[in-house]
Amino acid sequence: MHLILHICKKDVRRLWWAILATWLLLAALAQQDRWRADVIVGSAEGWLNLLLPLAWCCLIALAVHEEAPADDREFWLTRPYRWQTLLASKLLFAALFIHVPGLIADACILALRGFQPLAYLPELLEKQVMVAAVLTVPAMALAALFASIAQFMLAALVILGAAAYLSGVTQLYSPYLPPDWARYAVAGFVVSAAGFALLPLQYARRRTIPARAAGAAAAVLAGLLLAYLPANFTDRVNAMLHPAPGNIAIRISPSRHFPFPMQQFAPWTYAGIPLAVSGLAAPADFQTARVDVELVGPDGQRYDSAKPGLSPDQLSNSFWGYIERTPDYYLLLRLPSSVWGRLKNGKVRIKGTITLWFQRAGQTEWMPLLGTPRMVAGVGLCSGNIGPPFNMIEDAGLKILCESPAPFPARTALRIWQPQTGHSWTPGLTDGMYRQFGVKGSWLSPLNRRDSQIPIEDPATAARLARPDTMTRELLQNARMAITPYQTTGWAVVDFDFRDVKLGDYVKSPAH
Amino acid sequence: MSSPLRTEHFTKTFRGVEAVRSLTLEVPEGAVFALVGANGAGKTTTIKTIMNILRPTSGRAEIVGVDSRQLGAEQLAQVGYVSENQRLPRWMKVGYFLSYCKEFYPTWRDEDLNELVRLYELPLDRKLGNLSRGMRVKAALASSLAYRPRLIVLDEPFSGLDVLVREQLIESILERTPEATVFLASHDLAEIESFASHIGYLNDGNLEFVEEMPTLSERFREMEITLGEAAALPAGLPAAWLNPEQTGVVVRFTDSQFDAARSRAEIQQHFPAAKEVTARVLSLRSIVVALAKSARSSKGAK
Repeated sequence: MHLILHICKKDVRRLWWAILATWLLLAALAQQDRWRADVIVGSAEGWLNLLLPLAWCCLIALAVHEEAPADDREFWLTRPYRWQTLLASKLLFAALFIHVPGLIADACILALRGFQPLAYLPELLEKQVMVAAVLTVPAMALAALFASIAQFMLAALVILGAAAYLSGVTQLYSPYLPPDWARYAVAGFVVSAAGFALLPLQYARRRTIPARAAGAAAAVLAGLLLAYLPANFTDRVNAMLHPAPGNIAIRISPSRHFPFPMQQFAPWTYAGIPLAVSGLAAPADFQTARVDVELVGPDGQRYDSAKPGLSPDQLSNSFWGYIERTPDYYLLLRLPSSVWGRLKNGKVRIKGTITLWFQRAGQTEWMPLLGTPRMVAGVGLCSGNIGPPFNMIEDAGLKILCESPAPFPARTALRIWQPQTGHSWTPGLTDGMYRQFGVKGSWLSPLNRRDSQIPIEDPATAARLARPDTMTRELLQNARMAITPYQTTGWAVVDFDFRDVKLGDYVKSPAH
Repeated sequence: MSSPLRTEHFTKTFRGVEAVRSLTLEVPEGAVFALVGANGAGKTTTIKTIMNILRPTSGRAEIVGVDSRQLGAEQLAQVGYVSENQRLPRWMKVGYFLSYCKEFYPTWRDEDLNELVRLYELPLDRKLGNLSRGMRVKAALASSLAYRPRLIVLDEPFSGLDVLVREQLIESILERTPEATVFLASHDLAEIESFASHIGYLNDGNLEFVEEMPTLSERFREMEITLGEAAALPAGLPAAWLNPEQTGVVVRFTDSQFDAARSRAEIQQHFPAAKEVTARVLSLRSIVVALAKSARSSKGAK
């Protein structure tokens, strides 16, 4: 222990300026996070979420390179260092100057935003473990594989760039889809396992070339997993971990037609196929999540529904499959004219999978819409505020924000109710990811946030619109808000295969 | 007592090129063993492998009784290593560097260090990066002698240093650690001639010979024969006669197996018309130059 501290103290003496730089970035990020009452991350905070991990990587690399294992000219190689001692001193350095300050900053953010940090200690510690697993240890391992900081930075930038690119092309942000956590967990596990394995190996054996090859192989494997795991991989993992009871099947319901007029917008044609879900163990509330559809035309030609990873142009020209609930279920197909032209006159085979996400409503909690934030069990600290309009044409904007250091429930239902007039609104509570563009990551925040943004019209506009769901300032006075968390009870990925379907039967609207 | 340093058929290959070929040597306890050879002969590779900085491709090296691949903190605490290629922490001040190293050695002696600091006139408050090369070597040496190592390994430590500094360092090593075994690699033969007890000559990765210094000096002579009249060099000269050459009536060569009576007889046999024969003692440098020239010409002949 004495030598661990001795080496660590030496590193502090050498790298105090770099430690200070990371602390300044951390403080700036904490300051931004502390004042953010929004799901949307500001530009400064977004950049800090990118710069701080890079700064941490640099700090780690500098500390590791004080005694670089990959450099055969280092003086320490012929001094009586035990590799375990040296490695322990570097881990201690990372813990003291990256993780402890990170933990303190997170606790401060929580305290300043109205939470008791000690009550969320497991979440705070879990976050530090996560940062260590995907950042600190892999960065240490990477630094141990290179003899100079320049080489390390080049390798780190290539890896981070590839990860950012792959993460961008494999995600399809949608407020309606469950988080695609398993794909990232698998890729992250590969990177983390490689870091945990290579770090002690490199310190103990200093076999740099084979270690670099193993590190590169792990990085490539993680990238391939991220890019090529099936789109519904997470759904299948969820279904394996929490299977929904019953022998669930989906078939076409012969007696129904899509109840709303099917507006055809060139160049697309919409088909609404009525679905019947059977085999449920008991009546259950479920949402449909991801839908993957394959169409086989009369000529045998196959068409896959749009997958994450396509460019926006490709997405707009692809055929989409999604579920519409009216409250009956319909599989809606949005077909580009090129596809529709080949399918409209023959019998088509429609097959694929639909993910069902079973949920159970928790306790509903009522609170005043406007006023001081209130802790809602199972959700977090929630509040409603009227602020500036979200775009220029409205009078103002109502923002309902819930935040929590704990993970959010599967779904959170909101209901705004005006007791005097009986007006009622049911906006959704989302993570707002689909509204964020540019460098807007907030992965270092200790808080999860969900919000709902509803435009408020001025009375004249409201009168002109004459819609029952138009919201005005007057209607929101003394309004109340009901928040209901929904917990996941199970998942099912249901395969379906409909043969000899005449799509034309499902294109015509009821008016026909 | 066991040898503090030995190798057995140790070979090191870099991308198919053998830098050191089946090297077998044993350094006796207390010896000052100089591994000499031209640049690129494989000296640094040998030392790096001995110190477990590199791994042997085949064979093995043993240091203070342990296979070099198993070298741990316990063994390294008995070894002092200074190399011209060593990267010292340039940001450290000399005083901090020495106190930093101290914590790793249970046998560290402050009184020895103080004496070395005084002897080397080390500026304790200056950064290693701001020191001259000579001063940096002194600092590294001080940090390697203060714990009285059993084995001192030096890789070209004095190259580029002026004669006075070199002499001072050599003296200090011999005086401070009289019981230590010293193993050093050098291509500067003048610097080691005065104090090496054993010489190993490495040529193109091959260990040509290992010999005690006095025997080596006895064995080599520069011979000069003055003939009565000019004649071509006869064929079939002894293999021990290196680099024979003739200028007019004078024939010169290096006798690598000199023995007064035998050498005289051989000269009589090959040069019956010899009028005068002189045998001059060779410096280590001249011996190695003769060996290198001979190796080069025999390689060329092949």
